[in-house]
Amino acid sequence: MLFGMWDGVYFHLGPIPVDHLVVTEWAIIALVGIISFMATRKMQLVPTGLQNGFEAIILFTYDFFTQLMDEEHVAKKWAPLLTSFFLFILISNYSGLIPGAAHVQGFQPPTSNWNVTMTLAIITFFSVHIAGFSEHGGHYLHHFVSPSPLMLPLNLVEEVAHPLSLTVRLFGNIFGEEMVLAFLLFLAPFIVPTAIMGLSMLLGAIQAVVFTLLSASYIGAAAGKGH
Amino acid sequence: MIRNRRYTSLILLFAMIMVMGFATFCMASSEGPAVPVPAPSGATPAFGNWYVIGWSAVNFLILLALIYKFGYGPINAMLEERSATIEGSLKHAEEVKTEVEQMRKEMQANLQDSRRESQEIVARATKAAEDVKNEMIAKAQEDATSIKNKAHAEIAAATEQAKAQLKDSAVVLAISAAEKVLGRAINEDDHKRMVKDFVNEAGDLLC
Amino acid sequence: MDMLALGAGLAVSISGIGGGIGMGIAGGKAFEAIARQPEVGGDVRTLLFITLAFIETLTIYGLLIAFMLVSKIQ
Repeated sequence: MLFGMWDGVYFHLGPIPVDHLVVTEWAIIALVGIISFMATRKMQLVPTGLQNGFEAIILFTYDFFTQLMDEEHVAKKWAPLLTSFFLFILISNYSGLIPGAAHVQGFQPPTSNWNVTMTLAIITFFSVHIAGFSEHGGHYLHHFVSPSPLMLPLNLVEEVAHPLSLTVRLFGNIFGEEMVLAFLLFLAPFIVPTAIMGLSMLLGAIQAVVFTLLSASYIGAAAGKGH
Repeated sequence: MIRNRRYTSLILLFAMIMVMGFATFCMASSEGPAVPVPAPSGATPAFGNWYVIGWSAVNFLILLALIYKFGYGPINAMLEERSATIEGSLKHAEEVKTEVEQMRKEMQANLQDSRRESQEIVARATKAAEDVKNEMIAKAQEDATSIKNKAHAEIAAATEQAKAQLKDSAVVLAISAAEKVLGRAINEDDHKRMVKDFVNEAGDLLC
Repeated sequence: MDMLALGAGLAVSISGIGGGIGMGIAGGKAFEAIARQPEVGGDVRTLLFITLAFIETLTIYGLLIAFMLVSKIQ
């Protein structure tokens, strides 16, 4: 039952195969959903306990994205998406730190797969343009020819390069980290990987923050006043 | 600094426990203890697994919907409700404040009225007391005057009486002295009259 | 096959050198800025993270190429 990076299908839902990554994503969804459901189940005007912390987190995201995007209504509109990015990436990065996740089938983190990170980057890509069009209407198209029409190809390449770099950054980091952990476990399974695991916790959090930050700044740039 | 150290040690402890658990798992599950974990191949996962892409998009959108439904939606509603409540209570407080201000003004007016009234009452009472006092003083003065007058009159009467007695006795004395000197009794009435006249004169002079 | 291994090693090491130098310069300048003006520390930190992410991407490209080459060795 021990494999290298395993691409496996658990079962078929009709004609659609359900990958192990998909099951891990379901677990992440269940975790986040249950926690947020518990936190906001009995809303009170004067917050207590879990609701208090949850409210503080959400207000913090509003503040943070407002500071990043310079416009409060844009930040409030896109904060749920960005927070979902953060939570999804963070938890799936950390799911790779479960003992043996790189080896045991079905325990690879979803973000250590090209396909998942590319999906996230494509969602960012569409959100950026939706944000731009909903803020500026057709005037948003001027953004592509902003300094001069000569820059149009370059701008288009940039628009494609953003999601590509997001994809590769997240995937490369998490995959590399998993690989390092796997090699270390192969060489010395007992105490040695501890240090790398501690480092991986930090790196996983930083990668989640970086993905969220970059998405936020792309959306902010598209929806901002500059265009 | 201390907090950071605590977090770091927590993370290290957590990771250590995980590694121990995994090592135990590997030792238990593999046939020979020589190579507990196979070497990873290092192969990157295949790209273009469209099923995974589709599933991931669907899953992420579900996650977004859940976060919006259970996280942002209720919290936004709660924040709006809270701000509405705070605004309402502020408005209510403003109303109460104006009401209190009005009541205070009314009360002050009432107080002034009652103060003036009481001042009037006091003034009236003072005046009445003054009147009574004046009356009493006047009466006392009257009494004193009348008593004085009466006393004066009595004194005068007594003086008159005393004078008359003195005069009488002086007349008698003078007559008897004159009798002694003359050795004869003269017409007493004449003498009496004469001496009386004289004494009257002298008395008027003396008195 | 030997050349594949050599190529993988070179890819990861050269991209690591470049990324390391860039990150060092960026981080040093950022710390200098924070030390000079501690009140803008938050903004500088955010920008630093974004910049480091951009730099790191190039290193990660090298790492990916290395992984691909390594997987072709067998």
